Parts: sequence; structure tokens; C-alpha cells
Amino acid sequence: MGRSYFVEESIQNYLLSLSNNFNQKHVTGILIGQTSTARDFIIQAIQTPPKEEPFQNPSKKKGFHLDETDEEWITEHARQVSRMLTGGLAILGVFLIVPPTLSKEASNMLRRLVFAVDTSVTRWKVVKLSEEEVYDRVTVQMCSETKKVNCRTFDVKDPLSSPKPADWKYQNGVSSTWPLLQCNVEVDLRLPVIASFVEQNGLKNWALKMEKCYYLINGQMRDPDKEILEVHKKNSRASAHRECFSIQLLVPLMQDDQGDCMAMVQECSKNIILKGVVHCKAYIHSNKPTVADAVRALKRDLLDTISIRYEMLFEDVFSSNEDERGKGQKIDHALPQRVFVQASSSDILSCDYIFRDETFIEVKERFKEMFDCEVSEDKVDLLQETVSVPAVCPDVEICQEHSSMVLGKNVEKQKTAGVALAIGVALLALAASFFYFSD
Amino acid sequence: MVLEDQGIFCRVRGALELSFSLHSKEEATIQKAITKAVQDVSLQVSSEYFVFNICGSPVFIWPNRNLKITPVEITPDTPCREIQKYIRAEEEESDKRSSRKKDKKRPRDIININLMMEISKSSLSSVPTIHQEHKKHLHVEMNLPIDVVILVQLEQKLGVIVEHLMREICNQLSDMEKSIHKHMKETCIPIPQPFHFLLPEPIGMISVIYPAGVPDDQLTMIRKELHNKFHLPEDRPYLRRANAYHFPDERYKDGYLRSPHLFLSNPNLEDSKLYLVNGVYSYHHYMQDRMDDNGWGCAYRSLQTVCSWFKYQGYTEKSIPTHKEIQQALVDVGDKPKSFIGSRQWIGSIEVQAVLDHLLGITSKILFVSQGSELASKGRELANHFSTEGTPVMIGGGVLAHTILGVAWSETTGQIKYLILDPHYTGAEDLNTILDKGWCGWKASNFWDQNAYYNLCMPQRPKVV
Repeated sequence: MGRSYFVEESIQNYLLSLSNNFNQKHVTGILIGQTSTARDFIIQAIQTPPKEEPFQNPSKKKGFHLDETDEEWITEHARQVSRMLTGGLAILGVFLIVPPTLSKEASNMLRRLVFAVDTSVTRWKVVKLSEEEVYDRVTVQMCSETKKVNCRTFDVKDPLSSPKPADWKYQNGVSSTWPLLQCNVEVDLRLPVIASFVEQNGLKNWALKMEKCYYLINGQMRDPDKEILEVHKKNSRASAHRECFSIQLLVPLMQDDQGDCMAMVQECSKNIILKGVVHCKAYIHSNKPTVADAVRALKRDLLDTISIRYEMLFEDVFSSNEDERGKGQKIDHALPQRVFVQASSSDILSCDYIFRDETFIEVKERFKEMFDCEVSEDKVDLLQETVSVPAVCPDVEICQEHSSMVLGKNVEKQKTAGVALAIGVALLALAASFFYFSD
Repeated sequence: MVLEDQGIFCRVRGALELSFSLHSKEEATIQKAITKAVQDVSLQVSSEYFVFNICGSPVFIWPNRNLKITPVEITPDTPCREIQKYIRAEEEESDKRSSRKKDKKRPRDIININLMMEISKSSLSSVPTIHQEHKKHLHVEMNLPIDVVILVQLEQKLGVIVEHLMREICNQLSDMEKSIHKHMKETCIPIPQPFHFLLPEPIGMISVIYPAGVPDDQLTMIRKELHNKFHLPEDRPYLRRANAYHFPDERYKDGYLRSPHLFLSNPNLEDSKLYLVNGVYSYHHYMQDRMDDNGWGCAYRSLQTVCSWFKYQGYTEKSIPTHKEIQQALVDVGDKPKSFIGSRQWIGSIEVQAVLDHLLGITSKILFVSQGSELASKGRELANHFSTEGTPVMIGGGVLAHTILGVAWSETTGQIKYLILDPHYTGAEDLNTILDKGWCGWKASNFWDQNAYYNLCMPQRPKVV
């Protein structure tokens, strides 16, 4: 009894077109969707963006294998994309299109990839909300000639797990009735810096508080174990649209029973406060989702959006260049702004983060590379989060530097890595030749 | 005392974070910083995102948003009686007990409310900023334990109740600020803790803020002032921390039964009056605390019951002594040799008197009767003891020790019955068993060994506030 994957119809065409334009040894890519206990949904497939190989080494090796840089490239792409997904959506697996001659090696490669991608995608999360129920991830192998699709799942929590067969079914409008939850959440975090260490607990404690907070769905308290879609609405014909829920989050002001007698006093070298209101979105599948499932997806989106932006500025904000900054200086950094983009045939939105100086152009470029998708201006919503009255940002140069790094999406990094590798190889060859000819 | 009115308690609790940065340790700076920090807390309390949630119910109230309430059927005009229906009933042990009590002393019902802050905003979101300040400083932080109680009538409207609660919260915040300013020393700031006391009518329930960690002994001035203000007697404590009102929904964490005699029906004795222990005590008996003292520990257990009375009435903050601690005390006063500790030797009333004096500073009178049959003639003395001191009495004689919690005595006929708490019980803390089998119950004079002699240890209540 394997898992069943309900796959958006348009993905079939996408995979077919990739296999038809086949001029490489293989095509890899990732699969995006949502799991539920009974079945899984795939709503988007994205091929790995082509890597520029500075030195074309026609492979002399028999068969082929993914070398480390390939694997790094694929997992990095997956990591970047996972940060552009809204709540409820995740990278559920990988696909590989190979010529028939390489189909045997392909299954090994897929296995390695699916584990590597999962590690890369989960590692950056600050706090893992109480537990994912489903750890199965899918590998899809397609033959470039026969176009046949072989679909199997692995339990990524068990490195020794063996593949299980799974169903791969195409369906139209898989996500068209997925309910959408939205919320604007105020964040007010103090991150103490004691001596020169940023207390990591600041963000973790906040995340735990968020996990425990109460919620109201469209202004009402609902039973977490009941289905979020009310039965009478489900049956009506009119509900062939996406239902939107507005969520309110309430933090209980609990007294802890710590038995503290005195106020806590900390010596801090810096005062760092993260403050603002973020927009959160989450989608929940249409297979009998409960209130608890839906709210969990939204809370995950909240935690992810804060930790992504926090990380984007981390090195700059917390670097120890105190001497340069001088005492008493107050500095404000704006975190990147979240924008929402329709990057697939369905109207499920993905997101991106832009710095002050970036516009729709940069977003369009990023989506072309990351999502293999042309995005027109009307599909980009830059207004969900407003940028407040510009605060003093003396470190504009630093911001820009960072933004170009992020813009580069590590493409720059990979390019330099590729060059470095090539140089390394050349040097070695030189040294070797020296050895041989010196005698 | 039957409660005639239909009032119930309404209690709001929550922690409000008070925090501020200090760049110098000068007192003036600190005072100013605290005042400003309290103002910030007040802003939070008056914010439109400040929310009440009635515990165990789907009812949420925004007191500062024109009393917006969910579910929408509830409005500010809804009476309290209607609100109670939304609260999920919780099964409690006290329900089992109350069937025995009939309507003798039913505790008041209570509605608990939790404080919350809504973090979702209806306005447009604004991109977060990180604000950094590179300056060495002290960061001071504490949670103010807001705890406000009011008495409401069932017919009162929710809107009126909420307004009243908000006023009380603001008052408590201001009292807490005063307490902080009064008790702080540089950056050692004790947390201001509210305590509620149910004082005799017509005063009713009052709340007092005490600084955490400061023992009762150091707060005598505050108590004396309050005793004066409320015309309370000067010789018995009403406002020590241990005297705080025990809300019916709060469970005792230690697991001991409290005052089981309250659930007994009165003894049938013609023309008699009841003279009972005045206040709360806990029932201590064989085999408790994983201590197997079956056969030798009865006097120790009776002593524990006596100590518990002094603790709960606020005369001591010390914990109830263990067998070892009792034995150690007797060694310390020179009454027993070192080998006594860890032994299973019995103790008697004289030892009980010595331990009460040494550990708790309590003096006791010893009453000697040469024969058990003589005890019946001590009715007046016992009645007097319970009237003036109201403390439990430890009685030892023959081979047994017991606790006397009161007498039913007829001045005219001289007939007497004794309310006995028996420490020889070895079972679990099951109220029904204890009452049904007479481990706490009324006994006649034939309960005593008519030929043995008895010593009674009658502890005296210190005349302090």
C-alpha cells in the first residue's frame, strides 16, 4: 500500500517538454506540494537551473554520476526555492529525466538526491513546529524516450529505508479549492547580546510562544479537531472557489510558576529589537483538513518568514565590528520586504524578499531562474507589506552588498566555486606533469 | 453560615512584562526608568489589542475596543448568569465532597479570566526593522503577576463587570508600582505579588501587594497599618501570606486532606454547644510521605497536624517537620541522645511541647489526667481552650496518641463528646473512607482507656499580627 500522489495536470506537459528538448545527459528538478496523512498533492515541478560549466569536461567516465558540485547545486536550488514558498507548501521530492541507457544508475542518484534535498530544505528552519506527520518524500524517474514515469517514496527520517512504490495520478485543478489563511502578525522581539554572544534563545523562545498562542478563525474560536471547511459549505456548488479565512492570533499572558522573587538583570553590550508587522499566508489541502492542520501551516509560515529575514541580515547586524561603529550609535536596518508572486498556472502564490532598492525587475529575474517561470508585472504584489517611514540606514552599502549576494542566489558562489575547482585541477595536472617529466 | 446572596467571584490573572534599560545605577535614574516602564505597561493594558478570555470558554472580550465580544450572541448587556453557561464544566474532587456538605458551607462559584494580547493586526503590515543600539547597559525585566478579584452578582451585565475589572487592574498596577519603589534596593527589585484575603463581614475580600522573597516577619508594619485601617483584632493574624483566601478551584499541591471534620454532621448531644478548632489544618497519619511509621509514629503524626495548623494560619513559614526533623529537634534541646535519630521510639506530650517550642516558638500548656475516666470532667477546660486558642490538642496516654479537634459539651448536664482525628489510619487520602470509618469522627468517653493516665498538650496561639 503505497502513497498516492495527485499531480497538477500541467506538470505532465512540463515534464514532457523537458524530455523532448533533451540534449543533456539528465535533467533534475524538484517537486512542490503538500502532504496530508492519506494522500499527497504535487502542484508544481521546477527543473534545476542550468549550471554554467566553465570548463567543459566531456565525461570520459562510464555511465554517469552526480558529482558533488552537481548535488550541491541541486540542493542549493531546492533550499532557495523552499524559502520562497508560502505556508503549507513544501518540497516533496525530486524528479530525474534520463535516457534509457542510464535508467539503472538513475535510481541510485534519485535516492541520494531525495535525502540530500530534504536535509538542505529543513536545516535552515529555526524551530521545527511539532511534528510533521509525514516523512515520505517522492522520487520520480522519467525515461526521455518512452516518457514512462516511475514513482517511488522514501522515508527520509530513516537513512536505510527502502523505496516503496507510489501512485502518480494527473488531475486538473488540484489546488484550485485549497483554502487560504491570512494574517498580519505583529512581531516585537528583543534579542539580548550578552558579552559578544547573541543569545540564540531569543528567537527560539519567541517561536515557542507562537506555537502556543490561541487563534480565532474568522473571529471565532473553533474546535481544533474539526474540519476547517464547514460541511454545508462544502456541498454547495458555489464552493468551487478558494475560501479565504482570516486568522487572529492571541498570546496568553501566562504567569510562569518559576517562583522568581526578583527582577532579572542582564548586562548587555547591545540592544537589538526586531519590530514590525508581517503578512503571513498559508494554503491547506482539500482532503478533510482540520482546523489544527490549517493553523499549523499558518504558524509555520510566520516562523519561516521571520527566520528567513533575520538570517538575511544576520551577519551584517551581529558582526563584531563594534570599534567601527562607535559607542552609543543607534542603527536601524529594514528587513527585506515580502512580496507575493503568482508563479504557476494555479493562483497559488509564492513569495520573495526584496530590499529597498529592488523592484519588480529583480523579482522577475529571480523567478525566471528559481521557478523556471515568466512572471508578468500584474502577477507580482508588492503592496502586501508596506515599508514604513524610512529609518536612518547609514549602512546602505552593506545592505546592497547583501542584496547582491542574495540576488545572486549563490549563483556567484557556485561560479567561483566552479572556477576554483577548475584551477585546482589544472594546477594538479601541472604538478603531475612536472613530476613525470623531471626525470 | 449560609450564603444568602447569589454573588460569585470573578478573577482575572495574567503576567504583564515590565522591562527597561539602565545606563547608570543611580537611584534617580532607576526610579525614572521604572516609572516610564510602568507607563508602557499601562499603554499595553489600554491598548485595543488587550483581550480577556473567560477560561474554559470560547468567549473573548476586547475591553478597549468598545467591548467587542466573540461569540457574537454575547453583548455587553448579557448578564453574568448567561455567561456561565459558556464555560466548560470541569470535574473536580470538590464536587464529590460537596454532596456530603449539603448546603452547609458551599464555597462561592468563580469565573476565571485570562489576559491575552492579540498580535494579529487589522492594519496593513509594515516591514519589520531591526533596531540596534551599541551601548553597554543593564537590561531589567520582570513579569508583574496581575491577579484581580471582584464579587459580582449573577444579574450584573458583562459590560459593567468588565469595566470594573479594568479599573481594578489599573489600581493594582499602581499599587505594584508603589511596592516596587518602596522595596527596591538598587537593582535588586522584588516582584510585587498580590494576595487576596477574605476578611469578616462587612469588609469582604481585599487584596494586598507583598514583595516576593521578603518574609512575613519583616512586613509586620504593613500588616499593623492594615489591621488598624480595617479594625481587625490586634492579636491574631489575618493578613499573613498563609492566611490568603483559598479559591475553591485551586488544588492543594501537597495532596493532604484539609479540615476533614467540616464534612461531618453534628453529634447528637442534648443541650450542648460545639467548641471546635478555629482554622485550617491538614490530616497527617501513618504511612504518609512514604514513611512507614506504622505502630510507633502516632504522636509524630499528631504533632504534624498541630504544626500544619500553625503554618496555615500564618504563624510560621516553616514547612511541616518530618520524623527526622522532629527527632533532631529533641536531640538539639538535649531531651534525647543522638542515637534517637532514625529510631522508632515513641514520643509523648512533653516531647511534643518541646518540639513546638524549639521549631516554631510555640508554647503549650500540659494538662494531666491520672485516669481516662477523669477526662470527662475536663469539659470546661477543653471548651475554653477551643474558644480562646482554637488550636488542635495532642493527647497521649496508654499506648496511643490522638488529636482532639473539638468538643461537644453541655454546661448543664456535663455530657461531653470528643471530635477525634486518629493518626493510626494507614490508607489513602480518601475523604469518604476516613469519615465513614470514623478516622475523623465524634467519640464518646468510652473511647479512652479508663485506667490509663493521659497528658494533653494544648498549644497556645501567639498574640501577634
